[in-house]
Amino acid sequence: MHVNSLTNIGLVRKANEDKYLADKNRGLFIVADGMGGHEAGEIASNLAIKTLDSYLTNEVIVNEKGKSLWKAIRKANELIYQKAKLNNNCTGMGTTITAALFLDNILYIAHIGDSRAYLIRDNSIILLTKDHSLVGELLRQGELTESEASRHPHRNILTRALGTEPEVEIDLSEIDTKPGDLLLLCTDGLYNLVKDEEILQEVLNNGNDLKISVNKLVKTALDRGGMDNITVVLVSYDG
Amino acid sequence: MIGKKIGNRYEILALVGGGGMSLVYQAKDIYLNRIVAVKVLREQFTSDNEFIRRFRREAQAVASLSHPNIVSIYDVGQDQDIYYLVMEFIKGKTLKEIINEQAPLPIHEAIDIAKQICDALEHAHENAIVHRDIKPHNIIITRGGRVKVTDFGIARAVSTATVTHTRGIVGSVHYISPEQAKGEITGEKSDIYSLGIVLYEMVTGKLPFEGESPISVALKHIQMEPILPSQHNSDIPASIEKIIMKAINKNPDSRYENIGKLRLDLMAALLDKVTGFPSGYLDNKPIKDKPSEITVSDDTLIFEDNNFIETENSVETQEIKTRKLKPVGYVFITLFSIILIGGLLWGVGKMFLKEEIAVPDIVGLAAPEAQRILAGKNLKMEITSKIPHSQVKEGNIISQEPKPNTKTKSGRTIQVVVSTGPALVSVPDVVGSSQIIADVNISNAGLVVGKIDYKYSSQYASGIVMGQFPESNKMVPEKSKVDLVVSKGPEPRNISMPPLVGLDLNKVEARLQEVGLVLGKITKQKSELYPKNFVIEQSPVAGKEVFQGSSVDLVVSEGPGPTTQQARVVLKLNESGQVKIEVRDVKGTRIAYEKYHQQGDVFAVNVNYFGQGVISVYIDGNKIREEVVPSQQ
Repeated sequence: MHVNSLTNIGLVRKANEDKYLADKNRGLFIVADGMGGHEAGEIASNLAIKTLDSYLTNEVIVNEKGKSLWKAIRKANELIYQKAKLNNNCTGMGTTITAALFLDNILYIAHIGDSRAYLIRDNSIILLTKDHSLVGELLRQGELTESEASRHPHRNILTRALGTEPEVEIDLSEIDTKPGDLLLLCTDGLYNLVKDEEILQEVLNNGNDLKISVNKLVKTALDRGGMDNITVVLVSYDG
Repeated sequence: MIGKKIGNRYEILALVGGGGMSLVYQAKDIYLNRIVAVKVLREQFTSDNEFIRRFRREAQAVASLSHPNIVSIYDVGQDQDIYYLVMEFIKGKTLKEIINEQAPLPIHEAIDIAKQICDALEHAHENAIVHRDIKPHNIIITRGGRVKVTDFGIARAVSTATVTHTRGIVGSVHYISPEQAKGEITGEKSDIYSLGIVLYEMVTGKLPFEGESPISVALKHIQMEPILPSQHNSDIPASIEKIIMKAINKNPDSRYENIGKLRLDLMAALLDKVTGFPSGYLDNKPIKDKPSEITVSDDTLIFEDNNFIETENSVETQEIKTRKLKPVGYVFITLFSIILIGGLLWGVGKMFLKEEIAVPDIVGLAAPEAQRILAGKNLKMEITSKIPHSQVKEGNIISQEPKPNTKTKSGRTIQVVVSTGPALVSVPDVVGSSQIIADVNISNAGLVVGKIDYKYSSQYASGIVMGQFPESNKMVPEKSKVDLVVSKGPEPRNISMPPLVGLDLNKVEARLQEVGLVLGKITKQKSELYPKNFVIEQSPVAGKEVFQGSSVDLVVSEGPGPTTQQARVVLKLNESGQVKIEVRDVKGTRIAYEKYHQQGDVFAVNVNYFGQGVISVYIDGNKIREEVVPSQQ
């Protein structure tokens, strides 16, 4: 297994509220995009990653498999929600979370919010997650086209987030892995500016050189305005 | 606005009218203490600097016009955001109102109004100002029946502004000329057209072209033939109908040459009306038969005199002119008589004298001339023979007997030999023979080769005589010149350079021969794009106009030829369908991929090609993309 990751503050935002974790030893990869005023977003995403990182020990993973992700995220939700309640300047904070776990030829994905996981296999790119955003909802209902969605003024409104409510619904899925699979996790700072097919093109163009792909994807987003924080985690699975 | 003083001079009294671009107020000029009309541009135009600039320029030009049938412009100005024109204040109705109330107008009244419009336009055209928006709304009739034309030249300012801002066509399209409707350059002939439409409307009460939208009316101006005015109103004289139809001809060149000519025809028609000739009577008789007739056809405009209308009895004047010529005849007869009598007296005097005289030299003279000279000396002439002579012209005297200057008695006969001209020879037929053979044959016939023209011919090969003058078998004097036309072969044409890049050199030569081009310099070059002996570059490039016979330089591949390359086509399907990817390269066209995909699939296909290629992507047979590979970056 190989991985390369990069996060960039972008050209407009004053802080980077994106956080990620990439640990090929555990087969655990996470991106989180925080939200909330005055550093709160950063606190939320950071807390989410930290919680998952510490909860998902090797032992827990082996014992609980995919459910460990679910448990860890529930734990994170509770911690963030509590913290937001206790701290005035953290009120209303939250974060997206997209976590991937490779275990025994299965890829588990747990997901809340509008970050994304893509699977690149056999020259095709497949979106594994659903955006829990207003725009994503409108798009699924056929109210918007993709290009309308990418320009929508309220595309940052989430319908579901981690840490904003005492209970949270988590999307969980599992996929049988195949050698040669590529997994790409990213925040909306990438996909709002770089289309799926461009991501596919770029990743295929650079073959096994994950670092070039990641750098180029981030650079493309920056070239197009870098309106948001940009985070990309690219994993290749050899079996 | 009412009560406002603009330009510190014009006190606005009342709103009296308005159009698409302006409002018209009655105002008082407090300097000169007179009533004027002030036309104020509507706000939507005042933010447009380009429009304002044109408006002022045009207004200044029109202000230079001074004519009783043109509404005078006194002033052009700007007061803060208000742009205005100060004009003569006219009390009266617009022609549109009059038409609405009274049409069809009596013929003589319509002619009178049209004539005054002509006067106004003629003055403007002389000053290089075209109205461009002649319509009954812009024509005011005073109570005294005077016509006043307004809004000169402003149409141009407006139309330019409207084109740039796509506000649509301003004003009425019922009177615009086909060329205006097409947006072409317009001139005096457009005014003639519009006036023709106005005249049509005056006499019929109807517009020739009407429609649901301005566009449909404009199209009718361009495409549709109008209903003849007489079909609306059978009282309309043929002469007026003819004038209208000529003025509103779709082709500007077929209209009146200028507004003055139109006015002349109107005047003639009016006279026709007043004198009571039956309508149509005048149209069919040519003017030569009856000088007193007046017609309205194009080539018989007889009244060039501009004051014609004032001369009520000008018909009579014409007849007097024809009689005046007669006394000239008498003078000639008298002169002729005097010469005749004088000559007779002189001849009679001579007859009574007999004396020894010197024989005059009549060689080279024409026989009748010689005879006259001899007769003058009281000698006779006898032609003893007629023979051909290469120098002496036919009918001229070659020799005489007795010789010149010998003495003889009056009354004697001089014998002469007269030339029949040069000997005649038959012109040989040289058409179809080569130029050299023709030269020999012409010389053999006792003729010489004259002027030689070289011309292109598709019938005769180069160097072959294709024409001669005089033609064969014609009898001509010897030593005459025979002019020849010699073929230069078929005429070279400009042809479009065929595309040769990518072709095998073997095929190129045949292709060039076929179109009449010559292979020029060949440069060999290594190429990984083109196989050996394939054309890489051509000069001139394909599609360029070239003269037949010119040469084409080529750059030809010397190998190693194309290698396999790979392009990645990434697709995202907006709908499900059968995806087919086709590649076209030096090796031909083939299908690289064919598979059914679901909506939303995003996938990549690797396509192999040689050198350079074009990759086309089809979904359910519809081409959705085409790209050249390698991509041109």
